[in-house]
Parts: sequence; structure tokens; C-alpha cells
Amino acid sequence: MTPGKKKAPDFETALIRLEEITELLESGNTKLEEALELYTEGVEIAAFCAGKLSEAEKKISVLKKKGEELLEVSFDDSEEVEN
Amino acid sequence: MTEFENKTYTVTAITRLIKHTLEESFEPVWVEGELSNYIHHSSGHRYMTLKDENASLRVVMWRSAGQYLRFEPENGMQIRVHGELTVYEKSGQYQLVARQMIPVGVGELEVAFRQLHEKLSKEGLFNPERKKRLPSYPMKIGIVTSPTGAAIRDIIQIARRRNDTIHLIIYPALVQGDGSAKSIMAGIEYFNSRDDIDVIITGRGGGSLEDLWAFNEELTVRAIVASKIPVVSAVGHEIDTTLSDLAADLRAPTPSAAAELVIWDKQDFIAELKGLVDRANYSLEKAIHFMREALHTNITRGIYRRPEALIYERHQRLDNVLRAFDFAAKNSLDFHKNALSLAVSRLESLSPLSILERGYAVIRRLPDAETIKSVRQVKPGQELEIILNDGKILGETKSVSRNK
Repeated sequence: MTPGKKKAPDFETALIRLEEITELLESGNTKLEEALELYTEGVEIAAFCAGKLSEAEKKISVLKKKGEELLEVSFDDSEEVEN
Repeated sequence: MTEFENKTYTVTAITRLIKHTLEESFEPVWVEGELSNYIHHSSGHRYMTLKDENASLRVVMWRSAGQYLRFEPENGMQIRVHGELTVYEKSGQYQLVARQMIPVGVGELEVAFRQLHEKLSKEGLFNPERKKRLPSYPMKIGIVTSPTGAAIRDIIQIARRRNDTIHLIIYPALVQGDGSAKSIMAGIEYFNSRDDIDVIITGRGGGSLEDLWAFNEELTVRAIVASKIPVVSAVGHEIDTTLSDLAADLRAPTPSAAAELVIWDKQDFIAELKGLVDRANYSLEKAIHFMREALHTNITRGIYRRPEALIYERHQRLDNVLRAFDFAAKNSLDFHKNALSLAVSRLESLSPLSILERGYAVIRRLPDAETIKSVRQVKPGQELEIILNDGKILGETKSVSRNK
């Protein structure tokens, strides 16, 4: 279940797995080799999440009708506001 | 000449005359009374009697007028009816043809609210069991609201503060007046036609019951219930409760509150992530430290019986290995996890070797290569691999006996 393989996990799955790994490591019941594998997986998950968080920019879009289709266009909220 | 020679009317003629006279002498009127004998016929027409202590009046409301009713009349209700007086020729009865009907004492919207609430409750639409769980870390949020209203402004402001990773997509909907329920429904259905939306927020800023009415309409409520994507309702102020709130998977008291509930805080998430990694680092460091201690104890125990020179020599070698390992481990924990795993595998392959040199062996069971620590792991006939300092011996178990 390493990120990157298969479908990228969402943050929730990633965080749950990382918690699980940390708890396994803390339990002290793992052999050193296993612990290393787990640790590597954990670091990869953390790196994956951090990477995903940093790649994003502010994205706010509004749907505009074009013919029959709805297109996503960037939303300019500086437009006049009623109400 | 008899009295009968005066003008004689047919029933139809006199009825028509009465009808004409009645219709001519009354403008459209408002009449108030208690509703009884109410029948909503399958044709769509409504028949009823309006009464007070001393009199009663037949009332009919044709389907064409009835379609604009926002509540369903009920027997016993005090209502006010606006319409024209006329005569139903066939039965010779005068009646009021209603154009409009409103409840007295309570607002018609309150009545409509109560009635729809009861109806939809009976269907189980507000049951807590059918509410969907909201995702903890949604990445794409569909928002069905007015693009120029206060609600979207509040939501955007909170998104900017808490998390710039989340993508907000606004479906511009009418949230008030004619066609608003239909528009909100279309927005919810639109987001459901996509497969990338994690959660939907629908709502608007505060207003009167009339202003918020779109969120009490059956169309809106049913669209929320039918949504496969979890829906958060965010209507008006804290005190307002709409049927949409009751049907939604999560009810937020205001649009701002909806944003706070749905838009997770990026810094909090990063802190949580970091906390977990720190704990993992600490645990691993501890595990390595423990391994190092165990190894140390093991080797010194074995060396005890050796001549002093040898002890020193071996201690020194061990110290070198451990120092090298510590250095590698520290490095890798901080930066290079690969170097760490390398260092540890080196440590692991090194450690038994230094013991094997002294004539000890490692016995592994085949084919699973499990290290044998107890005779209980072996049965006669079991294939074994015996690892010595300079090679391996393959063997088979002849018999197994246990120490008493």
C-alpha cells in the first residue's frame, strides 16, 4: 500500500496508515528489519502528503453555462456582492 | 285570470336569474371561517364547507387556483378565502369559488413547513441512520449557492485562511424566489453527475422564512436525500431550521460554520503528520539502540572466557562497528532512510558473524528459513540449514529430544 502504487490514497487513508505504522513501531513488537520497512513506508506516506499539500494553489472556480455544457472558470469574488 | 297567469319561470330560468343577480351584486370577497368537509378530489379540484356558529358556506377551489397553494388545507383549520360568489345550477346551491386561501393565526409558510415536515418525517427522510459520513479531508467541495451572496463570500474567506489546497467549485444557484428550489436541485444533481466531488455545501445567508423558503421545499429536500455525495446544509442564522437542514448529512448553523466544519486546517494536518513522523523516528531510534545493547551484552558475555588480549581486540572491533553504525543510523534517520536500512542490514549480517567465528552456529528451518531457537520448532525429518562462519551445512533431523 505504498503511495504512488495503484491509486493514490487520500489523506484520510494515508493518515490512518501512518498512525498504524507509528503505533506498530511504538509497540516494540516488530523485528528490526520489519521496523525499517514500516518506517520507510511511513516516511514515504508523510512525504506523499506533504508533496500533495505543497503542489496546490488557491483554486476557486465557478460554473458558467456554455451552450449545454457547464464550464469551470476561475471565480472572481471581487465582483459586487449583494445581500 | 288566475294567479298562475303571472309569469312562470322554469327552474333553469329562475336559477339563472338568481345566479346573475348574485354575481352582479358581489365583488370578489374575503370570507373567514372554519374549514370542514374538505375533499381534495382526484381531479385536482377541492371542495369544502366554511362555517361558523350560525352558518355555513360551500366553497370550491378549482385545480387551476389550487396549484398555487403552498399548504394543504385541513378540516378544523381557521382559514380566509378569497373568491367570487356564484350559483351551482345543478344543485341550486350558491357557493364561493376560491381563488386564494390562507390560514388564519399562523402563516401559511408555517403551516406548509409543519405539513411537509410531517410528511417527509413519515417517509424517514430525516432519520439519522440514513445520514452519510463526511470525509475528513475533502479535496474538492461543490458549493450550491448564489455566486454573489454573503454565504459564498464567508466560505471563501474561511477557505483562504484554513486551506489553500482545497478546490472550491461554485454552482451558481438561485436561492430565493421562483424556481429557486429547482435551481438548487439542479446544482446538487450536477455535482452528483461528477465523480470528483467529495462533499457538497448548499445554503445561503440569513433572511425571512419567505427568503429561506427554497430550503423548505420538497424538491430541495428530496435532492439532498438523493445525493450520493454527503451534503452539508448552511442556511441563514443559527436560529433558522429548514427542512434542508434536517435532511442534510450535516447541518451547519451558518455558511461560515459549514466552511469551518468542512474545510480542514492545513497547518493542523501538517502538525499531525509531523507528530507521527517524530514518534516513528523516536521508536526506530529506540529499537536500534535496544538492538545495539543486546548485541553488546551478547558478545561481551561470550568473550568473558577468552584471554584478555582477545577481549580488548574484540571490544575494539565491536566499538568500531557500533560507532560506524550509530553514525550511519543517525544520518539516515535525519536524511537518508536508505543508508539506514543499509547500515542495519550490515549490522545484522555482521553481528552473527562475529559470534559464528567463535564456533557457534545458526540453525534455520527449511524451507521457511526460520531461525531455530527451540527444539519445539523441529520435528524428525525436518530439513535444516546450519550456518557457520565460513559456509552452510544442509542436514536432516534424525531425532529431537528436549532437556528435562
